[in-house]
Amino acid sequence: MVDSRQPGANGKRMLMHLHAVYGADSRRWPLKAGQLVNENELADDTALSEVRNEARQLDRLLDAVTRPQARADAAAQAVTAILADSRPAAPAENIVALGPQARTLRPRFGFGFSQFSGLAALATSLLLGIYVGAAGFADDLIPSALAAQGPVVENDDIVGDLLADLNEDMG
Amino acid sequence: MAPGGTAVFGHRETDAADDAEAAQLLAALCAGDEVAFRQVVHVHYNLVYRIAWRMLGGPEGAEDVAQEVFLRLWRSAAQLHDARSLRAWLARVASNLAIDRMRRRRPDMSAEFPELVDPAAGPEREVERKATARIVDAAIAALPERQRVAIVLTYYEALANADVADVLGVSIEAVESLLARARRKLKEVLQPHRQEILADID
Repeated sequence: MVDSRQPGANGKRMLMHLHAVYGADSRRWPLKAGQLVNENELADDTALSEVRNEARQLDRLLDAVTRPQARADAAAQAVTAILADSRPAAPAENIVALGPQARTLRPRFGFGFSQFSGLAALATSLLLGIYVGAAGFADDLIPSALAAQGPVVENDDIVGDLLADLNEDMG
Repeated sequence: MAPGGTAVFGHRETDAADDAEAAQLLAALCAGDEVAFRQVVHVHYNLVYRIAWRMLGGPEGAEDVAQEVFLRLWRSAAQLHDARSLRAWLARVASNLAIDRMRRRRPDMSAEFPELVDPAAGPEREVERKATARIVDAAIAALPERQRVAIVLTYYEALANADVADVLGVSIEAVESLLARARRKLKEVLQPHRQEILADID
């Protein structure tokens, strides 16, 4: 620890350091550093005066800065928003609001109308298909559909051809 | 390293009653007490808002940052073990969130300096004063991030340099180095406007 209570090189060095780092206003200096040095004893030092004047001018420039001030109700609004966000909101999830907030208040999860209607249509078409198949309403349509694809090959013909080929090979 | 040893430096001294009250408030906050939370927000909101404002170089986004800071406090108050560190914790989170936001918004704003005089509106003197303030705001906002944090927290918010060292995760000597460099940079940047600004102040 430098004993800068005595004026001299160490005290001067410390004061120059404090001006360069914290500015000319000793109220901004770290408390104990301010107590350790006695500026008055170095009042006549030219180099220190120059550093002090420079620091003072820069402080004046820095003090010309805008003084931001929060809105009076900003803190209360922040609290309300944070607490509302952190509370469980299960009952409110199913409320569908009208107006501009409606989109955000709609339930994000759950079994909605659109999913239900899709499944209902699928089940209906399945039942209808089974009924049509069982009643044979579409039997007349099947041969014509197959005819459109080419000649119908019966399974019996294929087996017969294979047996004939086999007989030829063996005989 | 400061002559005389910087480890003994500290801007403020708090008395035991304040410490006890702050500890009680923090304990209640950790227990999820909404009343305690409201009280903490009301006490510290302006500090957090000002830090965000200065780090961002203006009001845009400062309220959002402030709200996010207190949301994080509400969710993670249990991490705070020492009530005396609350101010430093808030300053750290506010600075970091503002820096994140600034990086996303405007990676380089070093060249943006407003005109000194805005002839658009208002009494001439007030217009000049605001224009002067905007130049200094822009000079601070254009500082490298760590220098900006150091000057905003130490010079404008009077945080102890030990707290600023904690916020930045560096030694007190490193904070002093950042402050000295910040002041040199500001002096250099404001030099062309110096006479006009000082004339406006006078």
